[in-house]
Amino acid sequence: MANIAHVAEHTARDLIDHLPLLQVLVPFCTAPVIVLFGSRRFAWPLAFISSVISLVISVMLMMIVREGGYISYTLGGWAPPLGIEYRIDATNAFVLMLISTIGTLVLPFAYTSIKNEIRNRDHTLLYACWMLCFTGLLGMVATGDAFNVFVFLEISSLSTYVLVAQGASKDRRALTAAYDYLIMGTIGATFFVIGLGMLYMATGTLNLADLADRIANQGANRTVRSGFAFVIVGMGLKVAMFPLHLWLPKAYTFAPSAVTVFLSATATKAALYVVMRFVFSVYNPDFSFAKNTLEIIFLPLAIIAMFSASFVAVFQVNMKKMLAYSSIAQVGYMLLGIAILNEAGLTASLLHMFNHGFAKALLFMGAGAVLVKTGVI
Amino acid sequence: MGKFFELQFLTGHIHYLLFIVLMMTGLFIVVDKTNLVKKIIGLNIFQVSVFMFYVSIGKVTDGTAPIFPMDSNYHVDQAAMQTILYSNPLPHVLILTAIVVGIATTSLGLALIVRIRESFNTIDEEDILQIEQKMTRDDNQKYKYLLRDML
Repeated sequence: MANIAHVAEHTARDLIDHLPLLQVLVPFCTAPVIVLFGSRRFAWPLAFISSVISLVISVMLMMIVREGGYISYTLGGWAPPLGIEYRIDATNAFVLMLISTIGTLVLPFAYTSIKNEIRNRDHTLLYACWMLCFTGLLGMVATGDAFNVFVFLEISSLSTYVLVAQGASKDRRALTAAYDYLIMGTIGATFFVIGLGMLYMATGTLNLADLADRIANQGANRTVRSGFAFVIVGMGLKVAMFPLHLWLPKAYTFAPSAVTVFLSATATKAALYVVMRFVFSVYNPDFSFAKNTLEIIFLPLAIIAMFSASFVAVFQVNMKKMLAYSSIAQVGYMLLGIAILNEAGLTASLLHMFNHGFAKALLFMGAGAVLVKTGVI
Repeated sequence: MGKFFELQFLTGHIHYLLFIVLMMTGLFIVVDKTNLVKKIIGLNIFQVSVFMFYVSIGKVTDGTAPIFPMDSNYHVDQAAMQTILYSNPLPHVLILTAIVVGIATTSLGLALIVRIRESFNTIDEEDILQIEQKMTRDDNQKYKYLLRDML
């Protein structure tokens, strides 16, 4: 119903047509505005207003695509295979809604928590970084262009490293946590780019829908297969798939509470959505290598993650570390849903994404509240 | 099984081989070195290898630089336009973005190292690990006492 790809004139569009872009643009523009105002009093209200606006936009998008079908938004009026396309469908809109809801819900908590944990002069820039991270996560999910996924991934990752490092005013280990995350996150993102390069070599396109068509037509060859491996490993690092999870416990433990709440509920989910996109839309499980990867690698690793990370979590004395290990286990559950390779599994995986997003956000908020009141957790 | 070692195949794909060598060098430095600055250098080599990979896949045989044939009077050379074979500019454009990201990552990493040096007084990973392990042990002791008091 809302396919607007054919419209070339910008003037002919109304605001509703621009929703997919505004979803990403509103928080993106808020970040420099916060920095320009430079006032600590304006930072939080601006961030909150822009989060609420993106929540409203994501709900409107959800209403439009709920019945099925998709919205294709072309940036700058360039037609999709050449230009960058934002493509919103029901899955997409669902994850967007999850991220923006969490972003909006966490901010009231963040106001007190950040005031308590972080030096006053860092607040303005912290909220600017927060907005950039928010933008990156929304953009990763909204975009329909493979390289754009990488760009937004890096926007969110770079601001995440900064946000994690802010915990240094409380505990200096936040610095090394951020450094470790930076090294591993960059390796992951670079692997993802190598994968995209190979896909581009084999198909000559970067549009996700177009990629899917061409891969399906030409069948699998070695370039396409190695591209798949690189993309999955790169994104696996961001998702904190079991053997690639090492950055997560430290980063979540030493980051400021509000940042941990936000990241635990959204960052891994956005990356997981990208994995789903690549496994089910770009490639599809009809290819034996995609099916084998899911059955031979994802399935056992997901189960190991579920048990071992939960087991480790039980013995933690630090509440935030316990919840962080539990997050790794929950990611295992979500990957298991994907690896089962049927509709019920995927539905369960998406549902658990939502559940875990909210549950873990609330648990971390609880831990943060304890920290505010008692000073220790 | 065909010929395992084929010289022509190797020379034809020399840029891929070099890309892999450079990439593995970078990854090895990241994994092996304990000095945090050296790790960042390894990361840079790793990223540069990917940039080179991208640039090399944009090359079209006999293709020239993708610049529109236009002289200083803004007169488009129609004849040249028909015959010129261009290299693919898209990978170059993509990698321009990735280079910017790489610079941002490097500067952020170095900034973090400065802060780490200020608070840990070392930039060697193993020393930092020892300090952190001690901190974790102290934490655990503290939590144990707190828990005992509560119970």
